[in-house]
Amino acid sequence: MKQKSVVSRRTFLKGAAATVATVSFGGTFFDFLFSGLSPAVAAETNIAELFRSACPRNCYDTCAILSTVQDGVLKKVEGDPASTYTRGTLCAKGFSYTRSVYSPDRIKYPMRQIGRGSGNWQRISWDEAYTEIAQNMLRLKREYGSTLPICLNKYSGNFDIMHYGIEGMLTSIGNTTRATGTPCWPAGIDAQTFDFGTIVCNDPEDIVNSKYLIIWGANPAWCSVHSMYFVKEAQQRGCKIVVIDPILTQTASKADLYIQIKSSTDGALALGMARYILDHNLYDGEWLAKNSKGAEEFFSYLKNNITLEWAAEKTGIPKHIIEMLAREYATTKPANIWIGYGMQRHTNGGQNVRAIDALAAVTGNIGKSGGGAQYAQLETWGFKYHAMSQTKPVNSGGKEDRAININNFGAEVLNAQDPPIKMLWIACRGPMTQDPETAVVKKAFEGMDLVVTADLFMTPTVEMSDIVLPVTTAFETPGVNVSYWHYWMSLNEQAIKPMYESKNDITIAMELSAKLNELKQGSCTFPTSGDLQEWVGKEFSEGIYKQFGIQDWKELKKGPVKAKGSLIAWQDNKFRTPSGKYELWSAEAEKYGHFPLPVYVEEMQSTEQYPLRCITPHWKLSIHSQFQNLDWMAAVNNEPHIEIHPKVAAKYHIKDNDAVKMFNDIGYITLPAKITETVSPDVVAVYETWYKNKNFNVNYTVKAIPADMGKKATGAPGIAFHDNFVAIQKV
Amino acid sequence: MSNRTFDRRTDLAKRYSLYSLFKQYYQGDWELARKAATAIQQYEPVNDNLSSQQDQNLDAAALFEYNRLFVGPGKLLAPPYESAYRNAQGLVMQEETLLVRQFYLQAGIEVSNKNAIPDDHLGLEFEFICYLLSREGERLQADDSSTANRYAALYQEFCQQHILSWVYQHCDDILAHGKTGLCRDTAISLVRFLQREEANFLSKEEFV
Amino acid sequence: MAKKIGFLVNSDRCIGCHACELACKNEYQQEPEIRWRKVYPLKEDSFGRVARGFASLACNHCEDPACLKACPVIAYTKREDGIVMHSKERCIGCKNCMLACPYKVPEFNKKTKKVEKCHMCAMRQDKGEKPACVAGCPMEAISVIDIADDVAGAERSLPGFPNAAITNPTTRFIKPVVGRQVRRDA
Repeated sequence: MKQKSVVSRRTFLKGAAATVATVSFGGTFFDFLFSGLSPAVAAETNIAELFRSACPRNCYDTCAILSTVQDGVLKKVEGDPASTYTRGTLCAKGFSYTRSVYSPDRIKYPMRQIGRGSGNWQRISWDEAYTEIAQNMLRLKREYGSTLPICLNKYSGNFDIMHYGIEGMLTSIGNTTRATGTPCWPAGIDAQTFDFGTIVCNDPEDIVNSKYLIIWGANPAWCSVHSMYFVKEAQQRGCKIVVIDPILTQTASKADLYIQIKSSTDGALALGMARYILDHNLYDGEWLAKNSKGAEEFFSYLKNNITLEWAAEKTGIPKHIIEMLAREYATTKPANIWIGYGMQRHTNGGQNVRAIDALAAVTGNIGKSGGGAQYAQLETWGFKYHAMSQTKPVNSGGKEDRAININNFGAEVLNAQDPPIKMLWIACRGPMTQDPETAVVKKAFEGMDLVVTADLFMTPTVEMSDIVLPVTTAFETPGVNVSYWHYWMSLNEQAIKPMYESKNDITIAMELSAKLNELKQGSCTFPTSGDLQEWVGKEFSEGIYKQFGIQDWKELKKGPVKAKGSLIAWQDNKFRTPSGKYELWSAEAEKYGHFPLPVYVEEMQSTEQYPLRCITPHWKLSIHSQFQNLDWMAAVNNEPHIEIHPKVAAKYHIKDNDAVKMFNDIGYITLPAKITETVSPDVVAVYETWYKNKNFNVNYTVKAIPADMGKKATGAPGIAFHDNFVAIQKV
Repeated sequence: MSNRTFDRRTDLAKRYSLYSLFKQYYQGDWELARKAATAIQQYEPVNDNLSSQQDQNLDAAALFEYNRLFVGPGKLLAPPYESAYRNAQGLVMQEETLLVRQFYLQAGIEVSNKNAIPDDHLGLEFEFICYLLSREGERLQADDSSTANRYAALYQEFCQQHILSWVYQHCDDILAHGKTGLCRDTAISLVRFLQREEANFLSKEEFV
Repeated sequence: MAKKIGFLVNSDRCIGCHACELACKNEYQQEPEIRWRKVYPLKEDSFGRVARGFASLACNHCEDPACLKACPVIAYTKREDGIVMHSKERCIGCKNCMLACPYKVPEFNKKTKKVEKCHMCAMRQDKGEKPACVAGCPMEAISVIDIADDVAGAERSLPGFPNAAITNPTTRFIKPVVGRQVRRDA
């Protein structure tokens, strides 16, 4: 690749002439001192070492990884065959990890931006970064009498347990403001919390025991590839696979029966099915009598309010199909329902999940291997949260932490008063691309005294920060990971040294604490030193040891382990509701402002001005803003599309790959069309992700409309991402 | 000591000094880099219209540009890594980086903070050259010309295999994206200096 | 006679997730634009009903390889087990093979100025390991078979696959089955 420079050719002669004029100087060679280099201590090693890693992404699969390292360099990654869930394979994202670790685009040093958004950065030392941050924290505390003007926005960029120490760091300086809640799944969590008492799902490996499986608003073929293996395995063993989804997804393409439901009407379908089941005596009266509360009220609601004709009208699914589905579901045992996160991202999403749960309850499928209503589980998350559990310094001002809604972050930051929010700490998060109403979020950033972001890459969020701190990848730091879906636990060993000056978020917390205490003794309680590996060990509780059948966390170095027992949700029929029963009638729901029964709540409708519903699901080559920016992914796909039904395309005279502007009252994006019958004529689909160097962001048009539920279990309702109505035009 | 050896030492001293300055420019913090850039202009001045000849005291502008070109936090406009030019997508710590590592090791040298800084960072490559030239000078001083020649040969090999295979392009990138006199002049000086070195390789059989 | 092997691509199991393609890249840490294995989308209506179907393809290790015949420097050889090997040492980057291959398999590496392609992880297979794509597929949708074996449902072509008569590829396919659909766009 040797190439002559343009300037070199032009200036060669001049350069030669310049030699003559060069100042003559002697100098001695003996002043050579090593700075970046040193005499080699050991010969290069060709021996490949294997390390156990864990994928810490916000994903069902949370894969156990084997990392090959040679002479300190990460060479490749493989799935760890010790896990029977991932069976030695990864996904496209997992296989790309060397590309993020060694990407030339990584943030390498702490840096300060002179003028937020200016692109004028200066490199600073870690000490300078800590000093500026600590001084600002102490100043804000002096000016406002507490640390409440300091706000943390941290969520799902890294789900390693020790990373909850970022929350701990904020606790250790006093009362602060916290972006609270979770964007993507809270409505469903609350729904199951009202029904069951909390979320618990069957071990996904148990799917093979199902005889009937409805995948309702989930797309495991993209978002949980390892579960898809068990779905296919069940199918081969004779299980009928039904997919209910407004989009003919990859999973739907593999189903025995695909039903294209009108988006957000899932509750109507579930209730219609329940009515049929009731009318035809296909319910499990014995189970209901023993284990449920409110069956009578629910049946009476069905009889008085629900007809199959209504359900057919609402959902767009013919009555005879609903009847067939209800009959098959109620009479094939065990029957399983996988409730996806997509279908609850609506203003009636939680209520729809409750209606689907009810189907599993009335047919007695709960607590059964091969049965159930699967949403997620947090049963394996019983860690000590040692890093997170910090104490507040005495007399640090303010009464308690202030929660603001993470799902309306921009507006809530702008509206916070007494004291206002003046400083943001952002970690494991990219609000500038992933939050709704991007323009409002940007405005909130603009009003800050100081924005600190810890990240790997230059994202639009980093662009709007004052100080950026380079963080480590999972391969450069120890940790421990569990899934919110399967029942495995994986240790994440440090496989390589942190590149450049990157540091783990916990190291950052420790060093910042040292600086805060140096400037003002007692201003921060976070430990100022500690070995990260030992800190991982401190996350383990007796409960976790017992659940996973290990004596010591170091046993995980031999491989991932799976929880022993309790792999079938609610097998003991001991529900964690106030009544201890499955609650078709939930007083708790009523307390939170919902109907006590899983009744139908009207879905949002399109308008004349904005006639199309824009659904923005996850994309197969990324998880939120991660992965699609890497070169290997770009080689597979480097262009977002808007999926449009041929009938809609014809109406707007749009052809394949034509540029289409999609807009509503808050913003627009322009992107090429993909004409496809996988969407229905009332829906367009744009997959949410972050492309490097592209002004593409689905959230330009997404409003911060809350989903109906989420407040009880997660502190704030979710976002009705899929209740986004838009218009399109060819440009 | 013959005159020829004396000339060789003087010449070596000049080249060593320039390499040290370029090393400092790439390896040092901003203050050192700025000083190095000023010194480079004393030894290898750019006096023609190729330079934008902006006020070199426009410190802030030069600093931001230096960071945009070489440091971050965004995508580097003129990455100071050999692999950035020789690996198709500029990925570091790949084959290209490890070849540099092997070269260092062959001379008994490694990166102090190994595996945290890519071995093929230009500041490190220049430091390696400084090391080789200093050894060559030291051996000449000790009248051990055969060892000195071995170091000279090693330098030439490293320069040809590595430096010359990418630094011109790197400098082109600086000139394509850089606007300040400081970054542009340093790049032009570097190109001229390397070109002279390259020309000397063809005509300095007496060393080898 | 030694067994002759080939890829069995089960498009009924394939979910188009690209894990095979990235597993290959991961194994050989390839340049981004080099794609020894590629996951091709099939036309939406290839099998009667609309569906997202894929064919994951690499080198087809043909019984009558056009690349081998077109190569002027004998860079291509066919092993006894059927794997078509390409020698980077012998290759002069003339691209004749790229023109000859009906499947557009050989790719030109701009860096090495030579052609390269899938060798079915011959080194791994010689050690008794599966090819990286086979080992990395979460769906077990790719396997290596003895082409003499009668694999149920295996066919020699898929819609969109060039005429197999030209070079007699060893790749075998299992067609996707598309289930019943209740759609609202009728």
